[in-house]
Amino acid sequence: MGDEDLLAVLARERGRALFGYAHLLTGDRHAAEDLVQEALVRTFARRRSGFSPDDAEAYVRRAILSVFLDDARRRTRWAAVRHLLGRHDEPARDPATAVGAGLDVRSALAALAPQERAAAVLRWCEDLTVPQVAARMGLADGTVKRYLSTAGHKLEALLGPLPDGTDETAPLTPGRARP
Amino acid sequence: MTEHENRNPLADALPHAERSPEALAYEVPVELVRTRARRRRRARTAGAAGAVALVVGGVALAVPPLLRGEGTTPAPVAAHASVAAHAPAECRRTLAGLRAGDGIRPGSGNAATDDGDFWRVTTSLEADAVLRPSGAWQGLVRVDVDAPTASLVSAPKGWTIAGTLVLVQDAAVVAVLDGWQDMSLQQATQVAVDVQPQPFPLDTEIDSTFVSCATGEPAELAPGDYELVATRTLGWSQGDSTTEWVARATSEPLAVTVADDDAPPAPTGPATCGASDDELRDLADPRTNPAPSRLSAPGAPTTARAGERLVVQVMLTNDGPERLDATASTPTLVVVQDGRVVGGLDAVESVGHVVSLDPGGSLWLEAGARLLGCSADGSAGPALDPGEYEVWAVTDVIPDRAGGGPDPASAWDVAGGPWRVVVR
Repeated sequence: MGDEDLLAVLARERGRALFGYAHLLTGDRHAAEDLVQEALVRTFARRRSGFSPDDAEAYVRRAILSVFLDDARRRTRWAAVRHLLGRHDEPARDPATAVGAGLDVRSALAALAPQERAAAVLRWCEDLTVPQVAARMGLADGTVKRYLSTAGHKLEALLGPLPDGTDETAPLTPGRARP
Repeated sequence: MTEHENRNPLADALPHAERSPEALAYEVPVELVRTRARRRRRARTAGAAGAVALVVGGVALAVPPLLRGEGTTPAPVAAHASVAAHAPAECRRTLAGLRAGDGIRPGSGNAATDDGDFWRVTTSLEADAVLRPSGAWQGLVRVDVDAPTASLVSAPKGWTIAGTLVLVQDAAVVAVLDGWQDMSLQQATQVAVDVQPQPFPLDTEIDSTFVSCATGEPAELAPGDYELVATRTLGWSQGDSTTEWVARATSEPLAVTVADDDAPPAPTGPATCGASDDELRDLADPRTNPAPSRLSAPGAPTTARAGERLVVQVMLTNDGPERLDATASTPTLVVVQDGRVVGGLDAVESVGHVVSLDPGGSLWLEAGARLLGCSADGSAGPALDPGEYEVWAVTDVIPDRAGGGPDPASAWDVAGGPWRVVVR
């Protein structure tokens, strides 16, 4: 399949999934559109032989993550520890109150710093193990654990308990089909 | 496993995101992606023998102001001892050799007789470009052309023709960016270009890999300090299309560091282990951080026990001229020693505090952290050694919109400190 056909197939069959992934990371519709477009350009700017649609989708997903993280690093804002409640005028001092107030997953993810958000999406949405998350993000396992620890505290305050996941080398949901 | 233990509120986040209203309304702009991908592919092969790179949106390199030069083919220099036979030609040059070909000339279609000394070409490399041990490089290069001493009827518009990006170490070129090739000024004046000129500055985002001079293969960069140097050959026209110029310019070296692949990533942000406290100072200084809020800690503890929790009552003050309605996060405590972040940084609860302050008004926020140090893998380290430290508090403030509700896009960070603490 030529590159031109592969792009059309990918756009038709997986465009929305790619957008959804980018939207989870960015929390912003326009930023997600830009992210998907840039990832596709990077993928198809290089001629690749023998690429199937599944190969291309996997590559574009990795490019989405890479561009998202690189953009976050370029920004000058401090993102090591961030707290965003987003939708409420009153502070949600009681996590149960926060959940009861209807914060959804996207708002909860928006409360995370970019690196934390990427780690959280890879671990709890894509069900990757900690070593797999570390490999995707180009980080040491320990650094990923720190991001997940911080992210987990923030997410649990807004969404309730997360899976124990003590065994960091196993998927959270064995046997689950991954997107 | 109980239902509680198995519950993952994020398990269906991706499928839900794929079926969200935004996703259902989304369509990939296929033709736009195709066009951009083709342009980027051409940019990668810019300067290949006989070809002209038609890059709309140039690559910016830091260059000194140019004087009109002869623009001859860069003088070859003695070959570097470790250059592979099939390595790029730039591997056999020194920086002086690269710069030797810089200059400005009238273009091939130029109807003017002016020597062009009034032109100034300036370029810049993005300072935080990412260089990985694998040789992959992502960065932004910008080129700009103006005439500060001349009165121009119209602004120049230009195009990039060719260029190269090299990695230098100990004054020798050790790697060259893949897919890029230098072009002399002389060649550039003889090349016919079919391109739509674009207003300056011209930006090019580059995502490529370096080729090692020693092996001629994709570079595996050893950890250490390097310098990035870029050379660009460009053209521009002014007003009517018969007035054209070409220039070749080599940037000033930009220092870059390749980190150890096994080492933790370079610190980012002021609340990161190993980071300098410079950013904390900037966030705490109203001269460098004009945001209308300050953090202070009158009565902050001056002694503490290692490993135990330090609690600091932090005061957030509205020092702006208008009422401040916002949400402020629980501050994070950062422990610094000899100008570097060495500990603190406990994860804090995701709690926002309502801020509603008249000018000059204040509210108290409690910040706390265990006095633990950093560790190599980023996890909580051992108790801090006894000694003298400086403690800072950092938080972010999210102002409310005029109609109510937080406006995260307008948020700012603020720091307070340092407060001297003796750990026993």
